[in-house]
Amino acid sequence: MQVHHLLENTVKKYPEKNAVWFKDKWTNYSEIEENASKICSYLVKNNIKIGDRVAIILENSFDYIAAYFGILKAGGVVVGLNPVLSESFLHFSLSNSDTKLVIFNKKYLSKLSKVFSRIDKTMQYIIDDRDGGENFEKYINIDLTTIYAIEQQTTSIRTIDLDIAEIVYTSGSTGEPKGVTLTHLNLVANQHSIVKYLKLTERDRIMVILPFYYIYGKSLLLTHFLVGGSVVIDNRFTYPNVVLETMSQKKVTGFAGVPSTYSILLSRSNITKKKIESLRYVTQAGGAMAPSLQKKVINTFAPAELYVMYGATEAAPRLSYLEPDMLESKLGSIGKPVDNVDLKILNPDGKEVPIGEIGEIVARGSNMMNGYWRDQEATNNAFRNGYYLTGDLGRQDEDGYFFIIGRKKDFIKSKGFKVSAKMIEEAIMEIDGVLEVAVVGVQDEEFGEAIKSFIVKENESGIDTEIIREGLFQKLASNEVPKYIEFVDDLPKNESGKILKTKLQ
Amino acid sequence: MLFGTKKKNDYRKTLRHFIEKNFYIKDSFGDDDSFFEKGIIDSTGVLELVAFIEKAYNIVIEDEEVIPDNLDTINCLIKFVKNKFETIEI
Repeated sequence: MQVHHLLENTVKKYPEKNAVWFKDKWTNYSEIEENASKICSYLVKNNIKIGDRVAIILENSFDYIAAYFGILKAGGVVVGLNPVLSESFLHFSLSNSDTKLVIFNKKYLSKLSKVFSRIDKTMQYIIDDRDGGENFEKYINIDLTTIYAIEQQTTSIRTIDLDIAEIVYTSGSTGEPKGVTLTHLNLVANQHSIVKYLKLTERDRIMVILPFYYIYGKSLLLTHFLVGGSVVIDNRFTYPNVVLETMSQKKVTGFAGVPSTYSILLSRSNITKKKIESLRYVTQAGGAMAPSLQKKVINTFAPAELYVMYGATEAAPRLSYLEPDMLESKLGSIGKPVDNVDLKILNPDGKEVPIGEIGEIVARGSNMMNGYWRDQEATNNAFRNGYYLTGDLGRQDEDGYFFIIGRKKDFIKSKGFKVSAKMIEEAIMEIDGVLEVAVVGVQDEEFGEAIKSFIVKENESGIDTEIIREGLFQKLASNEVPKYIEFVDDLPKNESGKILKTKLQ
Repeated sequence: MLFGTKKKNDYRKTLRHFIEKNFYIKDSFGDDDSFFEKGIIDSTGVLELVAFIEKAYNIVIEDEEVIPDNLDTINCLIKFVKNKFETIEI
C-alpha cells in the first residue's frame, strides 16, 4: 500500500464523509480525491516523472492536502518546506533536493521570488491564487483554481511501497539540515502503528495546529485518513483561545502538541476554565516534557487522556508511547515500542546493556528511513547493524519501559563531572513560576565549561535568581546547579516549537 | 501610568513603532492588515505584544481577551486599548 492509497481506499468507503474542516468549511473525501487527481493529471502532463521532487510551500489547508496526495499519485516525491525559514535554508532545500516544481501560497511570493532567482536550474511553479502576482509572472506557470477546473485525464501512476514518498529536511535541534528520505512503506507502516495504540476509528476528529511539513503534524493527517476520520485545521494558535473555541465547536476527539504548545495553553488561554467535552485524548511529542508539566496537562485535560510519545523524523515518526494509565507509575518514561518497532539500549561497543544501565537508544522497523538524501556518509553514520542510532541516551527498567536521560550531545562537563541538561531542566521546571527553561553548557574561564540556564517566567511571577538557586540546591548536587541564570522573555524555537539550543550557546 | 495623556492619544504611532521595531518589519503594512495573515507576529510575538501593551498603558489584558478581534490589526489594537481606558474611567 502506498501513502496515496490511504485517501483512495477511504474515499471508496466514505465518499461523502466530511474529511477536512478549514476556514469555516468542510470538504468531503470525494472532493479531496478529485482535486488531488487533477493535480496529479497536471503534473504528469507537465513532465513530472516517477521520483521527481515537487516542493510544497503552503500553509495547512485543503490545497496542501490535495497537493500532497496529487504529487504522490503522480509518482513524485514531496518536499514539504516551512515557509518562514530563512532564504538560505529554503534555497539549500530546493537545490539539494533538485526540485522540479514548487507549489506555494501567494502570500510567500515576495520572499520566495528571491529564493527562486538564486536557483540555477529551471523549475515550474504553481501558485494557489494568481491575483496580485502581476510583478512575479515568471514564477507563476499556473494557479490551483485553474487546475481544479481542468478535466482530469490521468489516474495514479504505478509505484511500489519501496519508492520514496517524501524528503523531510531537518536539522533537529542542532546542526546542518539533512534530507530524511521516507518511503511509502516507512510512512504507511508507522501510521498503522499509531492508529493501533491511539485506538483511532472513523469517529475520531483531530485538531491540527502543527504544520504538515513537520512529520508529527503529517502523521495527524495520514492516521485520520487511514481510518476515515476527520481533520480540523486551525492555523491561528497565535490566539490559543480561538483554537479552543474551534475544538469545542467542531467537537474534536483528539489534540496534538509539543511541550511549548501545552505551556502556552496553560499560561495564556482559558483552558483551565473551558472543558472540551468531546475530547478523548491529547498527545505530546517533539521533545521531552518535564514531569511537572505533564502532571499539569493531565489535571487540566482530564478526563481526556495524555499520551506521551517519542520518535524521530527518521522514524516516520513514531518509536514509542506511554499508555495513559502508566503515566503515574512510570512518570518520565517514553513508554514501550509501538507495534512493529524494535528498541534496544546499546553501549558504545554496540552491545546491549543490562537492564537499568544507560546506553544509546537504537531502533529498527519498517518505519525507519531509507537514508539521508544524497549523503551516504551521514546515512552510514546513522545506522549500525541494521539499527538506527537515535543519539538519545536512555535506560530500560525491569518492566520494559524506556527512559531518556538526555541527548548524547546534551551533557555538560561541569567541574569535571558529566551532568545531564535534561535533568537540570526538569528540576528547574518544578519551581513555581517557571514556564519554560533551557539549559546549555557555555565556555567558562574558571570551569572550562559551565552550566547556564535560560528561564521564561510565568506571567506575573516574582521568581528571581535567588529563589531558583535555593530551589535547586535542595534538589541537585552543587556541581549540577547552574553557574549562570538568565531570565528571558522567550526561548528560540523552530517552527514546530522545538527549542533551538544552538542559538543559546 | 507610564504614558501621559499626549501618548494616550497617539496609540497608532506608539503601537506601530513597537511592532516595526520589535518584529523587524521591513515591508509596510496597513492599519487594517492582519498581523496573522501577513506573518508579522507569531504565537510568542502575541505574548510580547500583550506584555508591551499592559506595561505601556498600565492595563491588564485577561486571557480571554487575547483574540484576533482585539489584537490582530493596528485598528483593532487602538479600539481595544481605548475601550479598556473607557472601562477604567467608568
